[in-house]
Amino acid sequence: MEPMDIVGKIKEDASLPKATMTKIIKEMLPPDVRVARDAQDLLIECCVEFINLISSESNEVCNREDKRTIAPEHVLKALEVLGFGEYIEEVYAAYEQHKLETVDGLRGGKWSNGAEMTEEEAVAEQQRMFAEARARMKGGATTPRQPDNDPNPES
Amino acid sequence: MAEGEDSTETVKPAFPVGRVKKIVKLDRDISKLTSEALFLISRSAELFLQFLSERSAEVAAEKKRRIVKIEHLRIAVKRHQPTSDFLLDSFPPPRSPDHPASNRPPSKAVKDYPAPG
Repeated sequence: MEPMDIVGKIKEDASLPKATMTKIIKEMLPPDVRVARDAQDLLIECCVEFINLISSESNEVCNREDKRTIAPEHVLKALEVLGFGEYIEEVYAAYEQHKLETVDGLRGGKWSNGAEMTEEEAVAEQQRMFAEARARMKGGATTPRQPDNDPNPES
Repeated sequence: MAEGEDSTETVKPAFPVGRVKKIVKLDRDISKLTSEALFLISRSAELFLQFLSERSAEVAAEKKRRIVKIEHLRIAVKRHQPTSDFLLDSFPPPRSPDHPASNRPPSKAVKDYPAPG
């Protein structure tokens, strides 16, 4: 594997968006710390290299298990194998949180608020929530979404 | 990006998962991955970036510098073996800042450079 070749290719085809990454890095550090521009570019490249590393290893783990699609457990195994096992706990916690957040609000914890609802009450509640959502959308008071954020990608 | 916030405040943008996907797909050996796997990879990359940024800033602080430079990054990388293993190759060769005229041989410690296995 030639890291420099891969880095070169990636610069042409796909890299992490500089402006976004610069802001993210800035937020990660104390306010009085500055990063030299070339160091910042290098940090972003390092991040890209890391992505290559993890996805490549995840792919190998996946192949070894005779699977076709890389699944979460392959990624977790890859992290461990590559010496980044300390990330596993936090990454997994974020994953669990992510799962909770992507569950449709109607089916999730919002429904189990103690008192049982009859089916009629449940339907009424559902209608109310839909109406609220519609009203919110018409009012135009929506939170803007990040253009780069692709919540449910699937190859 | 955040409503009602003072315009001078920056809110941390979301990690660009879509771009991560593009990067992953560049590897021809990789055919498919679930959206959850992609999420995990993105989150790991974000953690890694955090780790590397913070460690580099620590090195700069040790050297009483407010501006983080490539040399600080390099030292941070070297201090963590798994990171050093895959990343040190990608760094530009170290520059000798004080005496450009002197012909000091590059001080790459061979012991930090593990032989490919």
